[in-house]
Amino acid sequence: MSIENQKQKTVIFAEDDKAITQLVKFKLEKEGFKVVHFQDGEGVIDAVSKILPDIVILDDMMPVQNGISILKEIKVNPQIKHIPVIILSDKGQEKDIVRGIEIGASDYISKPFAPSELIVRIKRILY
Amino acid sequence: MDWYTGSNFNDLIIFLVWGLALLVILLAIYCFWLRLIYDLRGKKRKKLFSRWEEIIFEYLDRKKLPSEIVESMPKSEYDYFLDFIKDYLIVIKGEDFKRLSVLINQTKLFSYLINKLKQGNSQMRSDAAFFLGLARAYKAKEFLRERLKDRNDSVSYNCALSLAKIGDIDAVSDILIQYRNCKNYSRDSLLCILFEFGNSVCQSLLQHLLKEKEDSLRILIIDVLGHYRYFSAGKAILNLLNLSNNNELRIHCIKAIGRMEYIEALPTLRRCLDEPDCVIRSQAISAIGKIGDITIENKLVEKLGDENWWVRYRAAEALFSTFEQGKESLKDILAHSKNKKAVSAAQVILTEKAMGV
Amino acid sequence: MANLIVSIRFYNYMILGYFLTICSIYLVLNIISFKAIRKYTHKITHIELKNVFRFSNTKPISLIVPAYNEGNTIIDSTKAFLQLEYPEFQIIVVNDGSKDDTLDKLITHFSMKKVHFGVIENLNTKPLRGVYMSSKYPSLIVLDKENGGKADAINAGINISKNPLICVVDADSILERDCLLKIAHPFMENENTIAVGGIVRIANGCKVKYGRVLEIGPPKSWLGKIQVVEYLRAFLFGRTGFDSLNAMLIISGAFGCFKREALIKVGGYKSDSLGEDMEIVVKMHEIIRKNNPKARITFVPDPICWTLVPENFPSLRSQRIRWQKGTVQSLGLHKKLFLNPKYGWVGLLAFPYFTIFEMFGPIIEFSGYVIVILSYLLRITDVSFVVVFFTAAVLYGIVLSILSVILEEMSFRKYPKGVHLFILFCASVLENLGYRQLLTWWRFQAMVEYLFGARSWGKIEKKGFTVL
Repeated sequence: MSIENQKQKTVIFAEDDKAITQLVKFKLEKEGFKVVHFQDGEGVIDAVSKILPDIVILDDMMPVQNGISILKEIKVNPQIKHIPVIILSDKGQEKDIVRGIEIGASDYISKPFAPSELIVRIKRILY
Repeated sequence: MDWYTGSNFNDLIIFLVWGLALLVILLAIYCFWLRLIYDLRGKKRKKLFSRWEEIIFEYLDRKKLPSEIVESMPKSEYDYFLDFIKDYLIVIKGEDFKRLSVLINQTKLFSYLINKLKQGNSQMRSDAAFFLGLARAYKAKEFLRERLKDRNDSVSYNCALSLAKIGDIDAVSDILIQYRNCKNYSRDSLLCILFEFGNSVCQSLLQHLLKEKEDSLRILIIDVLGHYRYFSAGKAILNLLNLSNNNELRIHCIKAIGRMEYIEALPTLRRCLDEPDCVIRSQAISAIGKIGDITIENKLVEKLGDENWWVRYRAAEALFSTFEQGKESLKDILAHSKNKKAVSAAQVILTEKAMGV
Repeated sequence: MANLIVSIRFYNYMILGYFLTICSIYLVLNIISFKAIRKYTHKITHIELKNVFRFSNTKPISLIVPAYNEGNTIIDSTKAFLQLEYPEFQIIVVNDGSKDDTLDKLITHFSMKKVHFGVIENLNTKPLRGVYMSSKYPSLIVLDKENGGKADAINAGINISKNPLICVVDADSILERDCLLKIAHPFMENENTIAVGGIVRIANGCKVKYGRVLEIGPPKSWLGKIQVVEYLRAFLFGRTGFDSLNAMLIISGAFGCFKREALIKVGGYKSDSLGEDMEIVVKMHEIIRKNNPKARITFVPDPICWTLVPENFPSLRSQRIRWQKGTVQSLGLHKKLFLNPKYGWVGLLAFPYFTIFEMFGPIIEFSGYVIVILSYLLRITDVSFVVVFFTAAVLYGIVLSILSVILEEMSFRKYPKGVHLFILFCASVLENLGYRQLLTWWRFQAMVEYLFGARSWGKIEKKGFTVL
């Protein structure tokens, strides 16, 4: 079954680095995803509750609210806690990764990262 | 006597006033001119960046060749392009990284950077070294090594860092020798360079550790080996811990041994628990906690009453994380112990763990 | 009468000498700063500050926020501090016996619980009333203590902080998100660094949301605009220049970072100090540099901290009077540094500079104005000379102010619009025509009060940082 046959999947992507945003958005859209982008943590949770995306990708460190704390809020909210979340982070040490997964991230990717790897991980979670 | 009220002096100062007034106007004009230049540059930059964004994505999508992008570029745009691609090269790796780095490594940009590295002023040289490293330009390693001895500290540092990024393990000894002779950057800077090599540097560093006589360099090497948990170095580090008189060196040995969880070091570590230096005691406790020695629970409880805050803190931490019953015994101490220090240490750890610190 | 005339003449020479010296010092500082800032701006483009997230040699930071009656802003600023980029840091908000709802707001908003938590160090402070932590925000600690002033609050924070680096920040300061990365870098770059300061910019007139500067603009009032230029000059030139000689005597209380062991070694902040931010640095020079001449107190010329400044005359006046008294007190406490070659440029240049031009400057300048008028009345000098001399002095001041605007233009370019530049020029002129004379008058009053007036320190106000 190819991706094209399915309903278009929506991704909420919060990231403040411009280069990463452009690149990941480009890659995701090429794969047929609908991308809703936020450049800081403001309003991300509201959007997740409203849009109910298929997957959420969060930068760990953003202005207003960081990814880990957004993740925590998503995972305690019964309406949206089933939505998988991937953390994209500058913090790449073991303890950071363990903490992210413990809180409920479906995956944890540390920067610098391979964009194609991110796509594969998203697909693995979704399909 | 009153030369300054004399007409000569008056003339001089009037002349000065006119000069200053003129200077004010000139400076104001210069400042606006600067703003204009920077604005124009900013606009150009923005225009170029948005054009390149599209091209780059097509290129990553394999719809364009490297030569199509760079060969048509006028030389005046090179620096803008490097600036543009820098943001991407810093945050990504993998296949896309390789394709982007090709744009620097296998085009005219490569010789442009090499020329800059050879002939530019100190800022240009360090720029060039930086970008060659960022693009992992393997072909540039000879040039970079040559420049390790640059008399400008920043150039020398950037060359070393770039060699590390490229992964030129053979350059490690050059870098260490250069550092030992000049000490032209800090220990932490050298650490960053050595970390940047990745764990493949460990084997070569171990060889250096065995030969090295200078403690400050030994410490650095041990830090890196510990960071990468290079288990094969455990024996050598343990030897140093046993034989050295330098407590600073020994502290770093203990930290590294703890990180690599080198079990054979346990007897030595246990002996460290009663040494006079409080940092040695506290670090030894942490290391033992990490390795997970279950025979020393009583000793840890004893250390909860140590005179040093950090020793008590580490002991409580080790008790909490190493032993299944650790949490209970800390609570027990909290409830029953008469030793105020032990109670306080237990309290701090229990609070911190409850809060998720 | 003849005696008077001779002594007035002599005094005129002195004023002239004073003026020429300060002009040349400024000129030298200017040249040094131009070089230093260009070097810095180039360097910072290539430092991958975020590497600290990957490597294990980071130095964790404790961020201490003394707060007194900050109920209106404390939640926003604490939230903003929590978003700073740094691998490992804790925030310690010290409620210094506020009379408003600062503590309640913190407890409710961050769902904090009172915990038992012993102190690590034993600097003397007013008694602690409680330690609060939150499982939702593990990196946040709130200390509640009896009122004892800013220095006392910081000491209480130091007592409970665990990390090797300690940042002190005013509760109403707005920090750039990468400020910790930038201010910690000098400690990595040079192991002898014991303290680092940053540039403080003026937040009045900027658009601020969630404790973050979104859009930069000049303050609305001219009093604010003038201070923008004043701060540019003080930081870009004053600090950077002295920093190149490792002779910085002040780290602004609005934002500074210290090695913990250095703070402990000098016994923490002096709690009844009038200008604790200057006192601590001078003390570090005296105590630490005596044993380790290589120790560095340095400065990051990057605009990383924004603060609100008073835009009306009474509060500006009381701020400047406090700064002046703080300077005098700090210098007096450590007078053995004066012209003491053991302390390098600090003893030989910075300390005498502060003593002559910052401490006694207002007296000399003020009496200068008086004497000039007097000598005109006694017909020692003619009016044209007075006017011309005064014009020259003002113009030279304007040149210096504009140079600092140019330096800003060459380095950080924080004010985005062309019209801002024009405003800064006008402010440079106004600063030297009126504002500076007003400051001289206020600082003169402060000196009189300090030397002859009641020695009561008064209540230490919540804002107590020194800038110039």
